[in-house]
Amino acid sequence: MSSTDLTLDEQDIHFLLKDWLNVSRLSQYDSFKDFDQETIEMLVEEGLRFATDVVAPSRTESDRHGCRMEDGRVVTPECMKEPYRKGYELGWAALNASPEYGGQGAPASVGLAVNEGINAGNPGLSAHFALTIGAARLVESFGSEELKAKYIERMNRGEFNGTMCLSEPHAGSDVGAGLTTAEDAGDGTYRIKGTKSWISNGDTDLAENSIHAVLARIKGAPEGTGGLSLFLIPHTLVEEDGKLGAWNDVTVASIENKMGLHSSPTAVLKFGENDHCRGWLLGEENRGMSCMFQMMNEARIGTALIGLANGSAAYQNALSYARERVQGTHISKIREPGTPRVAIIEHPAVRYNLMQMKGKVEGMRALLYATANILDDLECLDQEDPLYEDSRMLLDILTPLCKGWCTETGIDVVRTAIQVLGGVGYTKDFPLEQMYRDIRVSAIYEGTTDIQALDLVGRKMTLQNGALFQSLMGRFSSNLEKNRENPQLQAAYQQWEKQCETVYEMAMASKEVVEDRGIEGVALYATPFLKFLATVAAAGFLLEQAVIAVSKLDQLIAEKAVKDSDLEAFLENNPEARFFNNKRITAQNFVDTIVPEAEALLAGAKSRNYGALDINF
Amino acid sequence: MEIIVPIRQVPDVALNIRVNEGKVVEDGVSFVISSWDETAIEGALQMTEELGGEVTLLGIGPERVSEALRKGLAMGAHKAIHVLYEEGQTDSFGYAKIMAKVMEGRNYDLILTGKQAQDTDAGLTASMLAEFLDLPQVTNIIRFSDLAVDGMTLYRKGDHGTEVIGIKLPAVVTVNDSLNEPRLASMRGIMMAKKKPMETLSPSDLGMGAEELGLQGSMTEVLKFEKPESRKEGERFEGDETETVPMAIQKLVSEAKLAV
Ligand SMILES: Cc1cc2nc3c(=O)[nH]c(=O)nc-3n(C[C@H](O)[C@H](O)[C@H](O)COP(=O)(O)OP(=O)(O)OC[C@H]3O[C@@H](n4cnc5c(N)ncnc54)[C@H](O)[C@@H]3O)c2cc1C
Repeated sequence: MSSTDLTLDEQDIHFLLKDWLNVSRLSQYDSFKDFDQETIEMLVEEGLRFATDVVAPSRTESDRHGCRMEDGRVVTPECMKEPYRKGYELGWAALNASPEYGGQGAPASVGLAVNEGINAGNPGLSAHFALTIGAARLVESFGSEELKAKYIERMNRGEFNGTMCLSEPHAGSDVGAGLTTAEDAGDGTYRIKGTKSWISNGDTDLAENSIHAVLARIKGAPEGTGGLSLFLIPHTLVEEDGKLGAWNDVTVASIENKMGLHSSPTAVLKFGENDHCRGWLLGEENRGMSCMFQMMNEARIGTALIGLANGSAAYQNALSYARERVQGTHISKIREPGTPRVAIIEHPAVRYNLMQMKGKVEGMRALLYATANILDDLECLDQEDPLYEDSRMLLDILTPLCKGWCTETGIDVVRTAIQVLGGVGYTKDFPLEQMYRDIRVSAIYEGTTDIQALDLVGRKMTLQNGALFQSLMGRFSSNLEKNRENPQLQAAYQQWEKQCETVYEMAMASKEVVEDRGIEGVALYATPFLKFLATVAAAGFLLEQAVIAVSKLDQLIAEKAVKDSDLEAFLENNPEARFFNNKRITAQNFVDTIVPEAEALLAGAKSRNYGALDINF
Repeated sequence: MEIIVPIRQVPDVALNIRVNEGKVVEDGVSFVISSWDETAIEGALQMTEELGGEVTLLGIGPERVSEALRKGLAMGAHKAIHVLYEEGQTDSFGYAKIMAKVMEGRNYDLILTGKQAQDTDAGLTASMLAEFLDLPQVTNIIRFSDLAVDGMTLYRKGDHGTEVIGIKLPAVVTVNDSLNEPRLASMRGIMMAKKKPMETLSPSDLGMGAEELGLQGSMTEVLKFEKPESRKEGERFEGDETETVPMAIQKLVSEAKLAV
């Protein structure tokens, strides 16, 4: 543990995968038959070792050097080359990609665990890996056999880089306003013309070629997202024999001068300035947005992971620093002469900050790993299985919660970590200021937090007559029914039950709000509602974990025949016992302090305050 | 070239090792391959990559040792032998005896291992093994060259230079960690590790009786462990060096009794 180096919470990660989610149960299905417990453990251990030993050393240097343009192409920091190459060589970069195309085919939850490390090690590198897999999967799902054969394996090997091109200068949150056009060239390709902006890794020297997944409107297609089609556009054409051919008229106009995330170039790309940019249709015409949603949904979970990964790393650094930094005397001994100075971890205010961080980090991890686990279920379950539909609905409603809440919460955790470090937290001698700059964008790209909230309130809550929301509430109810009598967690469950009821009441009240104030009355409090619902969901998952932890702790105490009088020392000295006991404390603290904090954001909604709509700015 | 690499599983030194009543507390400790042995695995892999042949790992200890062996297999070793051994405290002599038994009747050109174990730092086992097997031995190598199945050149690090030694095989060789940078296990390697053969033996399979095992089979006994005293906190002098240097010297003279 160190206040500067990357420390990963391997204990929590392993607990979630093994004791809570029991990921190795997936080995009973054909898709994941090789992933037994021992293998999963070793994969996660070694993947995280790759993150700390190979990826993390590039983090600061890539921030200081950043990417630059040279002769119209992007040059990435030198220190990115080794982790990029090794990521593919060792298989960690394409962990979840299809084995059919050279990927490793690991369960999403195992991939998430390894990526938590890689992302904390260098979020820009993690973005390279994730976007390339995502784009390759679009080709796999919607491309012709020819495109699949030409591109997927080389993308999964990192020879080709993948991107997603939605945004344009005038089409950010409103993707449907995109102006990029496509014209049927009559030879199975389309002539593409337009400008895409903000394209992550829009160009790179880490790979030989970039393959762009681009939304464009075929001439004559309807306006809005319903008229967008998806195209595969290589930067450089790939010949039949696989050799790189002519330039495909994709110009890298510039890269952004950003606040952080300097290891990932963000490019403005011009397609077809010279009228010879060719694109290949992926999926059907005018179905581009729904195809692209496959990648966006993955990317939303990937972006949420930035919040967790960096929040967790920041918490670990802060915790370590708080143990080392001596400052002030203990508040209970302040009047005693000659009282020794203490480490700041002794101060209640610092402990409060650490506790909040720990709760939020574990809450994020719970929410995200649960979501990845649902992705795995969907991969294994028969589509006719009633559980399949339920899992799909849960995934759909949890996705905006993950993206919206984990990114905002991650930022909040890093902010608190800087506070714990005091002055040095604000300097470049410690990694937190960089994390703060790097993580900030996570709440903006892949759909801002407010856009996630609109997706939740405007779509996911109302789809299929509210069935998605009901499915989430169903999961809450079964958790309550199963565990509310747990003697050690009864109080926490009672508290959580009330919070679940409030969620339900707030959701039901939205009808009245619409009548009262129109749809904007609901939209006004969409983001606070997202945050509240996300914390209630995270609390439920943390409570499930706490149920397991208290029973494991009881088992351990019985096994070791610990006497009551020795219990305190046992909880302090036995790392497993301490972990289990802390799980209980963290879950209780989460329902007592973190969920109410989020609930308080809805105070205005409860009192029907529409000041923000009424005021004349 | 057939190489056997004995490896030892040790507590992860990156973690805080706790000592209670003279014993290392194993609860909650994670175990890793001793780092010099990792270097030996890498060295052996490089040799077989050049000359062909197989790397066989040998681990002695409780069930958990199979994890270390799997990790070595994931790095690329071809097979493993696990002597399931629960006898508790055993010294280098005891382990070397067991290893010698395992080697009986096996075909190998080289036994390559770390120059010492990361936990005990004793550095005796390999030499004792060489003695039991009546083989030549070279310790602490930092390089090898002129690789052939019947011999090679070894470079041995000393305080005042490097000794260059020709050795005939079979032999026992131990490695310094500057020999190489051990490779990380790849995802594919991990997935394949499970399918590689791991032979599990008990001491009785090796024809060893109680008198050869544990403390009875050892020549020394560790009476207890003591934790090193924790270091006192450092002191920081603020200001420019014209003030801070004299302040620091003053402190060294008055408190550390340094003579100037
Ligand atoms: C570093 C970086 C990398 C990026 N990478 C990519 C990429 O790889 N591919 C890609 O296509 N794009 C990428 N983007 C673009 C990103 O997705 C957009 O910036 C984002 O969607 C917001 O769009 P905008 O910047 O135009 O902001 P705007 O849409 O102008 O939004 C400004 C503000 O208004 C709010 N707002 C807008 N519309 C609504 C509404 N209807 N309801 C409520 N609030 C609203 C937003 O929440 C935001 O607070 C990247 C951006 C950055 C900064």
